[in-house]
Amino acid sequence: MTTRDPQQLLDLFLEEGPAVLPDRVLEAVREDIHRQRQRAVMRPWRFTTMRTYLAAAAVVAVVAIGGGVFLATRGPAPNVGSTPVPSGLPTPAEANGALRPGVTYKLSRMGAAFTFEIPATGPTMVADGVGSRSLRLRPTSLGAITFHDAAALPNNFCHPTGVITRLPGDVQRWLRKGGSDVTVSPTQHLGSVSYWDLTLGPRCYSGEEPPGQPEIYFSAGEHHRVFEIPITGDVSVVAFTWGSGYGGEGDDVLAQLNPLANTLVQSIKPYKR
Amino acid sequence: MLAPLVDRAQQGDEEAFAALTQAVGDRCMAIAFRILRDASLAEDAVQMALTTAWRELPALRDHDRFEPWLHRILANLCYVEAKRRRRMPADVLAVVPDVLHTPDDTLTVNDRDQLERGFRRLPPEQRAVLVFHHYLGLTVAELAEHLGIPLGTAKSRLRYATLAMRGALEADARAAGASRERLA
Repeated sequence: MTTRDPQQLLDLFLEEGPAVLPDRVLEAVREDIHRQRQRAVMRPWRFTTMRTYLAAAAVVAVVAIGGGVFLATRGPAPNVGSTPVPSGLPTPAEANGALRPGVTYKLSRMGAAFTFEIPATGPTMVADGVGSRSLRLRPTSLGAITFHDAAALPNNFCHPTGVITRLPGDVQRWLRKGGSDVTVSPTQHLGSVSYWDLTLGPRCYSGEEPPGQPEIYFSAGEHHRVFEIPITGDVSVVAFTWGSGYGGEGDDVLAQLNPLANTLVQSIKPYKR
Repeated sequence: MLAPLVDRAQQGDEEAFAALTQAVGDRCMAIAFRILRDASLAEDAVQMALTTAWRELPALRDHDRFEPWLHRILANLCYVEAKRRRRMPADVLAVVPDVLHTPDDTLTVNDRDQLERGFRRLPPEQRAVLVFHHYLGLTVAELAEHLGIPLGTAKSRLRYATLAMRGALEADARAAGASRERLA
């Protein structure tokens, strides 16, 4: 039995282990950043130096970054499944029928593999840094859809708590604060889900500033479908399709992504109260 | 020293950012591994953190605060990874005979098992404060900044984590003692 000082033991314990980042990770980061644009900051001196913005406009591949995170109104965390399913294994499934929290689903409808995961419970943080309970649909190369309920968003390093009460008018107004040019379709419906198609004009690129405001990453030419999915009486999920139709992706991607998003949105409906 | 690179990277210079990652990557890996206790998860977290940092870099106002800012991103991503993998296999620990008269600067296998078990029981947020405090040698105020949490929260997390580790070591020691008594 050890009788040594626990502090000393802890120091020794934490000294052990790798302390070198493998080159392959560094290389992967280089590739990642080459594909991803930096977010815009609404400062005049930034507009002239955002080289990556210009580069991003020419990138053919999808830049699956950033996202919109909004909450229709503040309220309790939505009950999207009372019993987390203790399985993280990919489950072959098309996006119909009940989706279960804590399960990762795979979709094979498109050429690229899609996966999405419904977190079991509690706040989580997705790879783009958004803290929330979230549902993600992420194709490996063609774009992404991210669903957030945002009920418990931490005001973290990049994504703030934000409240948007009227969709998509607030999105549109907010984007225009940054000199954006957005066309919003009339409201369309999938059952009780409302959605709008956004088309972003040539001046459209929006980040957020100052911290504490909602943010979306958009580039000129992008098309987005924005869903508002009522979960409870006072909480909605806002879902954005992501990165479709710009930089050479073309409408063929959009044509695939939007029906898939529609299907997914409809599949969420069992979780509504 | 990093500020010039941060400045260039903030303006979209990928080479500068690559140089930054070279400069800070090892430390990030060390932090992530120690929080997550898994090299593969740690690599994923570091890659995500660095990529996120690139994306968010224009929002960083104080170039001298790059590393604390990056560590905050990294820690948050480690929390995610840790919670996501909570369903991963639990501790698999063997009963290992105590090694007596161990030099003070080494851990016995039993020490390591006890510590590993105790550490894995901690919430990732508490693991992080231990790593930042004991491994990086940061003061509580500094680790609060690195983790983006209030000072009081940092203090309480450190206190609880330390108590929990101490309790884990003592509990395991008691269990080992009881086991020996039964065998005797």
